[in-house]
Amino acid sequence: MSDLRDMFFEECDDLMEVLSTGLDDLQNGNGDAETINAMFRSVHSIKGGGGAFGLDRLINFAHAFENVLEDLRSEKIEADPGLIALMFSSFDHLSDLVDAARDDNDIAEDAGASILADLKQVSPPEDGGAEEAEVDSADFMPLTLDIGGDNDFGPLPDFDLPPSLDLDTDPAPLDDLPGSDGVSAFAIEFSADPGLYTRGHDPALLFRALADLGDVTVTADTSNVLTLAEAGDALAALNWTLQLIPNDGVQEDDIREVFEFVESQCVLEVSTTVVEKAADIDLPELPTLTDEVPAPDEADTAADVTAPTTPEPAAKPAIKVVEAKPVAGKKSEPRNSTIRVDLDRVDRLINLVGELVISEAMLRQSMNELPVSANSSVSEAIGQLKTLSGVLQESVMAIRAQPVRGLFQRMSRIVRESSRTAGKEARLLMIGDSTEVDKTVTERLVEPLTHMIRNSVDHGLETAEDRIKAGKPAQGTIKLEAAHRSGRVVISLSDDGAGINREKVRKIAESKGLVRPEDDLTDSDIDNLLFRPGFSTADSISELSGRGVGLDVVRSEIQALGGRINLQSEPGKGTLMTISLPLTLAVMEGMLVTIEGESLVVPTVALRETLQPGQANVHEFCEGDRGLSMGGEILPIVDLGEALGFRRQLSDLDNQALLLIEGESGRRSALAVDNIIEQREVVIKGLEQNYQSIPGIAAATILGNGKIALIVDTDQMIPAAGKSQLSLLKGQEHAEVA
Amino acid sequence: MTKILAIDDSRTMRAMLETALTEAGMDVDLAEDGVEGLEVLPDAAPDLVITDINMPRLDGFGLIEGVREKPEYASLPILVLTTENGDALKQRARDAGATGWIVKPFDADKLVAVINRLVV
Repeated sequence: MSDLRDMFFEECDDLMEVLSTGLDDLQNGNGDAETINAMFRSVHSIKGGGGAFGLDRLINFAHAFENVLEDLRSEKIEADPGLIALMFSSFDHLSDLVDAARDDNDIAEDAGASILADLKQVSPPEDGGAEEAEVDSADFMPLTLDIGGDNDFGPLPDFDLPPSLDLDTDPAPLDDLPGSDGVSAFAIEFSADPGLYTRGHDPALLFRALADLGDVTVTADTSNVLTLAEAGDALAALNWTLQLIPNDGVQEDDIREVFEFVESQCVLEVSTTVVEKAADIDLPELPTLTDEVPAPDEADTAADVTAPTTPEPAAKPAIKVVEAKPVAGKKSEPRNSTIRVDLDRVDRLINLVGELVISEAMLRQSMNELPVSANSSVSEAIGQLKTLSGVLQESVMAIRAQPVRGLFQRMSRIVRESSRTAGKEARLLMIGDSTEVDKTVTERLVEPLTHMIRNSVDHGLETAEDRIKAGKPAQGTIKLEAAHRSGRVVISLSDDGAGINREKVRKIAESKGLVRPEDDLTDSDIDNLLFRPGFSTADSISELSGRGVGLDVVRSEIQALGGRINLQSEPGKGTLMTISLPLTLAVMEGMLVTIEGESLVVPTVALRETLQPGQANVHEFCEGDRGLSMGGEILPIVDLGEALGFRRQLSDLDNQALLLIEGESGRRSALAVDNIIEQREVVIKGLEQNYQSIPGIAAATILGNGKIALIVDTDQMIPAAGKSQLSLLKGQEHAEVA
Repeated sequence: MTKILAIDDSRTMRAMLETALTEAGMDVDLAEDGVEGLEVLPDAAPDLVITDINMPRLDGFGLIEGVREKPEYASLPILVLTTENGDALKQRARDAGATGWIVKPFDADKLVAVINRLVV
């Protein structure tokens, strides 16, 4: 059962996603009838599953929500902005209820009460509504599926009934009656409509069910039966008389229940009677109708035949009208078949494939040391192995890929909530939500994105009045966009707010000692000061984005995912934050270099160029700082060996190779290394679990020869504006402490 | 062995039906909506069909009509799964050709009892 429960909540996530997509479509005017249908089905399924697990609050709310969607579906009401807003709130509350149920948490008694009331106002609950009243209520009985459970065909109770007993009006159980002359029994008259047979019923089965209730005698009146040639639906001409001597506790209702599904397709009369003692009654073989009489199989005969004993059932025309037309158009629609796999298994596979890639590299390296011709069959096989393991790796990674839709939809709620709290009007525009990203990445982006969005609403967007004054629409727009770009995933968040007040940012940064007044900072430098630890422009800590954390936390979370974040702002127009992430967390492209015999990997994402320094373009400044002149610009040169503490600073760089790297902020520097070996794919092995965070080092990898190489954290190798490269890592540490 | 074709777009509900019916010794085939239900029907060759009403592509009513259209399934028992005990809904299901109905959340024993009542 707990498996089913887990499955239910997993399914709820999917259903909520459908609901959310539908709401967005409605809001953007892209909704159609199927949008509302899909939304209805989602809420309906949540309600249905909730019922199975006894989640009453969830059911009640889903029911009210469903009623509104039903009215929307049948066009009783219209999706005006007010209703859409109500549905968004309902979505949020439903989502809370699902979460609470999943975690077995209680949710405040009055939470969502006003939303529920609003929903009920829009679509009042239908108790005894007009639609239901049209159906003859005598036609159906309350559903109780229990058929009594007494399957004992043992000897009957030996009851004697007084002759005067009026059984017709006495509701008491028959077997409670005292008596001596006979046993009480039910007399049942049954004749079936043609419609009974065409709905999968079989009188023989009904009689068999009756036999569970007591001793049955069946008599068929075949006087009206036509010859087989004339037959067809005229089967209805068969009438039966049955006599049931009931088992203990069996009442008339139990008998009627057997006929529950066929009551509108037959004439059924049940009365009570008294018969001779049970000993005299032989139970005849039940007729097996299916053998003797073929069910009508010619649909076209149905219309011609009139059942003699019963009114024409209303069912026929309805069947003809519908003709199952939805089938025709959509039958060939392709379906993706899926299986659900435990994530642990996938991760294990990914790890194994990672090891395989390493082994393959080791094998290739060993091959190079052997005297084997490049054209030999072994080399060819090795080449093929390389290709295959590459494809294998890619395919395995694809298993973990997930569209960012779910992540984006969570953000849509954050926008609603934070704009409400901030008293601003905002809407979220989502673009490219089908872009696929590693599942772990989408999960770990929730926090940073939430923070960024709150920040945008809180600090980026202006109030409605200010926006109108500035000639903008009162409602601010926050745009969340995802795309694949050159082997990475780029997620950008932009707002059409006031942009960054650079003057203010700079003043604050100076007052906090993050920059010096004399530093020459570009606009981009100033914008990116927001990511520095301990920076916060909010004059007072607001409820939303304050909380003592700044965008520096966002940046470190993105970096932990192997990503970069960048910020651009245009005063009066808005702010754009761009996150760039690797497609997978497990593998990356890197440039293998050596320093003092140690192997290091520089991530290719940061790499712009490799060059050999001619003496001419290296300039020496004070304190050992060196710069490389490139197209009129002077870039700081970082001696990687020195920065990582492998050696003292080299006095000349003649024999060094330079790697030109570019960081998040767009600032660049040149890394001096001993040798550049090759560019290759490396499997990332995290270090933080064992060694905590090491300044300048992002992770490690295992090389083809089995040796470990450290992966350089390039962002920490780019000196901040106006800082000496000597303070590179120390500066970082210092800033983090501050 | 009694063969059942269960059609529901909710995978939770499908799993529940499968569990309940398999435990009762029945052979269960599953489909996700009416279209798939009609597709697998000939291969599944069930003794009885259980179907949800609200499903994408083709709903339960459409499925029942589609099944009944074929002469060979004219007398195949079809049970409808509903969340409402609404009479209007039952009438519609019966008009479409349903044999009976089960109200969700269903009790596994009762479901099995009803099936046994309808299957030869």
